[in-house]
Amino acid sequence: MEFQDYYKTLGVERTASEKEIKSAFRKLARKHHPDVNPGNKEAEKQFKQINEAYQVLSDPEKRKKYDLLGADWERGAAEEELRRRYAQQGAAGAGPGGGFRAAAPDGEDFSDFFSSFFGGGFTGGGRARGGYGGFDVNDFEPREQKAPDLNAEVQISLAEAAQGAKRRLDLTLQDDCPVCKGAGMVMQEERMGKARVVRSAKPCTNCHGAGVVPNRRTLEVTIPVGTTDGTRMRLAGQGGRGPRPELNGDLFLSVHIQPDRVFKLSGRDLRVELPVWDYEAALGAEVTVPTLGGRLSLKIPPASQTGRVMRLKGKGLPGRGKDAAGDLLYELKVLAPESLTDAERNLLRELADKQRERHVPDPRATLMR
Amino acid sequence: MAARKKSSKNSRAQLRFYSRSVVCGLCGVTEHELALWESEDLVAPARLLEHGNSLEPLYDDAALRRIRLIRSLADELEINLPGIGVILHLLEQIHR
Repeated sequence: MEFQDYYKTLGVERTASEKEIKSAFRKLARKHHPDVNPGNKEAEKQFKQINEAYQVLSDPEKRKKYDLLGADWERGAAEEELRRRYAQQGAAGAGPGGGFRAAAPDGEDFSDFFSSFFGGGFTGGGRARGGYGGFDVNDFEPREQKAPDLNAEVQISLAEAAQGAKRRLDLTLQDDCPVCKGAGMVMQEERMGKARVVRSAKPCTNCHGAGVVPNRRTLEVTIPVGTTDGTRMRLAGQGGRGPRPELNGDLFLSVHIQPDRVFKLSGRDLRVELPVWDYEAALGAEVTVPTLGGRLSLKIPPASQTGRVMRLKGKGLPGRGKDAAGDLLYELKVLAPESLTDAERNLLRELADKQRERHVPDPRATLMR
Repeated sequence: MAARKKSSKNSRAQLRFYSRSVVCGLCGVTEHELALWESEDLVAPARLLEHGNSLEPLYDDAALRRIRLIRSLADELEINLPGIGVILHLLEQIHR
């Protein structure tokens, strides 16, 4: 069947609105309907043409395509000729029924424009099955997906958490082969006008056809000052390699702070168990204590007990962003002297006697109810 | 600027065609299988290139993906050709 001018078939202008097309179709359909013209083959043929024209022109997408081809009638005709010849000779080794048929499911022939664009395979780019209403090449276009994210862990010391640290990370990733770009094959292209035709493809010698190559990457990571335990750092674009740099995955780095011998970490606060002699606790003292930044002098008030907490505000882990710096907490642990000379023992006995004399309450009184 | 660059890249990608033997190599199908699928209207070349009296079928990336899909359906799921035809049709409907 020849290409037909759908606008002419419906008797409308090329600029006709959807409403005009619809009304023209209804008018003609009523006139040529097989029920109105029983046995009239010509009317039946015309009715089919009207239907076909309406199917294309009533769909804005199809109408657009038709309008495009209409302006390039010559090319359409040339391609039609090629298609016919290809169908005659069959594809190389196409076997019986080679070539590309374009038929409606009920066996009705659609005109060539209709078949090739909406049902047939020649110019449609990969769509072969006739009559199923077309195949848009973009339909099966896999969406470009972001490459997977990666997770890694890094251990830092408390001092590094306080001062910031740098770490070198050695990552081994499977990246697309740079030679074959992940295809596993190296293609030799031949330029034909604007198009390129690949006529030979050999397994890639770089990746041996695998399409991927191990990629060892060394990454220098700066762990900022004041990073707390369990912080998850996102290194944008450092994960799996995507087809484009913006589709690279991210690298998530979990930071763990190693337990420290002296400082126990709780959020940003640091806790230190501070042993003091009983006389220091009783009389008060100025003792030297460790901090993250060095040593400090701390005043122990007189009559301090085990468990008393002394707080140095802002001397814990440094703050970061909205989070304020933590505190450094010293928990006193009063120790009794381990070794005593006779003289010291006598002094202590004297102290005990004096205490009894002035009826110092029994510290275990609360236990004896 | 970036948008222009991207569109020119896309249009270049669309203008790449593969010969039949290359398609077979890339998709892991034999020429006989491909011919069979073509005869069943499951796939078709994107262009026909004229060489004197003969025509050489050329396939584009969309055809390549379609062939790979057909191969997966046939090999991995053991679906017969009419079944594949139905699946492709349904996929088209879903994607539309």
